[in-house]
Amino acid sequence: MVPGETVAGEVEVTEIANLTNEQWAEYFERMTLYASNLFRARGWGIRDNFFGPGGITPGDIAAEAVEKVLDGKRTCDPDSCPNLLPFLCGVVRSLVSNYMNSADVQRTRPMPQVRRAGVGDPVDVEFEGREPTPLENCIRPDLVDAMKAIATEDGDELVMQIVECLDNDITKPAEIAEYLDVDIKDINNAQKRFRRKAEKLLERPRAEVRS
Amino acid sequence: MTEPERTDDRKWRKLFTFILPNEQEMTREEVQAELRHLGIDTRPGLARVQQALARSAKSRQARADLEAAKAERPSLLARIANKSASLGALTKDKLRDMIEKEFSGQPKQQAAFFRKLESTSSEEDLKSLLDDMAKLDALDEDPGDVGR
Repeated sequence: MVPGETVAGEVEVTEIANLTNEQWAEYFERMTLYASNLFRARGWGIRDNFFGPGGITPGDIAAEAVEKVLDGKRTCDPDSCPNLLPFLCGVVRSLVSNYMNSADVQRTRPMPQVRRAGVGDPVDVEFEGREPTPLENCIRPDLVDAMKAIATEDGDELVMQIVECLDNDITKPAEIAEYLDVDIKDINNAQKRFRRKAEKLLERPRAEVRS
Repeated sequence: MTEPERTDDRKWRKLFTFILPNEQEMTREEVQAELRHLGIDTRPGLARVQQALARSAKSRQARADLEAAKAERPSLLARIANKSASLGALTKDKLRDMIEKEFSGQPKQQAAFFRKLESTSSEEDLKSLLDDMAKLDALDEDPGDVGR
């Protein structure tokens, strides 16, 4: 594969049997990153310290998802989910949801991102209007509070403007840049700046974050 | 700390997801860099994926071999039947040669037919063996089970 080239969004689920080992490696990496996002949303770790229930890691989840797809235990419905990466991420979400339900069901919100069209078939829910995305939906309440605290205390005007854009469903960096009439680089920099600040805060013990 | 307003949680949730890396819109190099930044070692998981791919390839190959054997079997049986008709008196040695030659690439089937052949004692038995082959083929059964 040419450096910088990406397979994301280009491959249909019907091509799954024709993927090369190298393509699978790339999908595995993307699935691992996606799993790490879900872990962060659940408060299951931050940099250098990702552990879910039973010590499971994002890489474990992504590998388990690939195994289930290759073994035919998870199959896709091309009509409901034509692209491969969203399907694979759906399997990852489903597995995280299972671990989540087994670990701390009392403290979590449900993850309704996957419904089953048949036995063993995870299917992406099609969102209508302003429904929360799967990732938004599983963020722990104390992490939501932490987001609010960082943004408010920080007083970063651009971040606050971005928050207002997001609240109005303007979610793509390019759209936000156009709406705010700023360079997209400023949006990307603000995104990274805030991400690093959030990581620092979330690296603290959970009790400290809540206090 | 005062109880936060839950009514505006949505926009803060959106901010949380906004700052997380989007694996669908990143190049592979960016994904790898982010994984390194997060301190996630992908090697153990990748090893599991490689093992799963090897298992899957082996399984696909086995299925393909089985399908190929099934597709080839009727023609092999037809050739045996034709040859037996032209051989005149059927003997064990002749049939053994035929099985050896016709099933040289199919050791399981060959072994099954040899076992059956060894248990025969007359020309009628030998003809019966050919009939069995034809009947089994018609029933679409695995030749590996012949004579068991």
